[in-house]
Amino acid sequence: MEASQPVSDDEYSSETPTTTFANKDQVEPEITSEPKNTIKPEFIPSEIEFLNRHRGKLRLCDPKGVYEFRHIQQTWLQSSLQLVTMLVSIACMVSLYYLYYQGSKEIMAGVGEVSNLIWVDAFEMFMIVGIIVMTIKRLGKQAKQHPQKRYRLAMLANSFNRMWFNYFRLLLVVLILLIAANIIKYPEVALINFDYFEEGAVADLANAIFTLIVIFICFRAFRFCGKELTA
Amino acid sequence: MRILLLLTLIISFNSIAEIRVPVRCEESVAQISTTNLIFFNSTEVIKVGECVGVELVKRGVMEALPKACDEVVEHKNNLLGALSLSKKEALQIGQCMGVINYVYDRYNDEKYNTSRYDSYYSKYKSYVYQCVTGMTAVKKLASTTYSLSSRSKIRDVLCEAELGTY
Repeated sequence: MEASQPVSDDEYSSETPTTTFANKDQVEPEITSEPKNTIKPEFIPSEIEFLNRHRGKLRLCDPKGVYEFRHIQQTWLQSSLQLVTMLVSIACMVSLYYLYYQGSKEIMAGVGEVSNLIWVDAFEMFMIVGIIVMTIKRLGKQAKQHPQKRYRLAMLANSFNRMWFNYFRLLLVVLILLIAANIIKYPEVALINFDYFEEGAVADLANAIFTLIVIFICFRAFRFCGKELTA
Repeated sequence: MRILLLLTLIISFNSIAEIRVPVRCEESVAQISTTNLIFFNSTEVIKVGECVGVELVKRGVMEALPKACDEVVEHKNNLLGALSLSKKEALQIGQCMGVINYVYDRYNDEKYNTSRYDSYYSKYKSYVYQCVTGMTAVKKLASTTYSLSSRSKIRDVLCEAELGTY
C-alpha cells in the first residue's frame, strides 16, 4: 500500500499537469481514496465468497470447471449424482443411435431388407467412438499421478453430460428449423412431412454438415479429459 | 383354446407376406446382402437393382418407380458422390435404369398395334414405337405422379408411336 501510493501520484502529475494546477482542492480527496482500490483482488471478501461458492459447487455438465478446480475433492453426494446423470446421458445417446440404426432398415420389394446407411454415418460413429476411447485412455494415464480419487468419474460424467446437452440442443434447433421450413413450404398441410427433407441432394449435404457439427461437439466436450494434471 | 392356437400359427407364419426374391436374381441378391455399407461394389449393387427392377416390371408389381428415378437425379446433383450413396439408393438407381433400358430394348422400332379407338385411317398405315433413353427418360419417369406398375404403362410414358419409314 505504501509503495503503490507515490507511483500513482507520479502518474497523475505527469499525465495531467494542467488539471492539478487549476484546482488542487478537488484533487486531494481522489489521492486519499486511491489506496482502497489498490487492495489485491484476491482479498476482497466478495471475491473470496465467489471462489468458495465455486469450489463446493455441484458440476454436472462443466468439464472446464472440473479441470480448473481439480484439487478439490468431490463429495459422495456429488459423485453419485454425477454417476447417475452420466448413465442417463449415455443411455440417451446409445438409444438414439440404436433407433437411427433400426429406422435405417427398409423392406424393398424383390430384394428384402436393405439399409439406408451411408459412409457419412459410419464416419460419424467411428469418430465419436474413437474420440471417447482415446480420451479415456489419456485420462487414465493422467489420473495415475493425481491424488484426487473421484476425479476420473467427475471428469467423464461432466464430459458425457456436456456432449448430450449440446447434442440435444442441436437436435431441438434442427427440429424447429425443419418445422418452420415445412410450414413455409406446405402451409395448407397440417401434418409435418419429413419425407421431403430426407430425399434430395441438399438433404445429403445437410446431413454431412450435421455430422461434422456432432463430431465437433464431441471433441469439445472431451477436450479436458486428456489435459495434464501436474500443476 | 383353439383360437389361441390358430392365432399363434398365423403370427408365426407371417413371413408369407414378404415379397419373394425373383428366381433369376437370387444369386446376385445373396451376394450383396452381406454388408450394409457399399463403396467399391456400387456398380455390382446397381446391376442387382437392374435385374430386380426388370423382373418386377415383367410381373407388373413394380412399386414407386418415380421415387427410384428421383434417386438418379439426386445422385447426379450430389456433391459428396459415393460417400452419400446408400445400398437402398444404389438399388433404386439400378431399378430405374434397368427398367428404362428394358423398355427401350423391348419396344423401340417395334410395330405399334392399333387399338380400336384409333381412327379408321390410321389402321392402314404402319406405325412404330420411338422410345427415349438416358436422362430424358429418367426425368420423364420422375415427373409422373400416378403409379407405373406394369410394362405397358411405362411404355406409354416413354414411347410414342410414329409413322414407320419402311
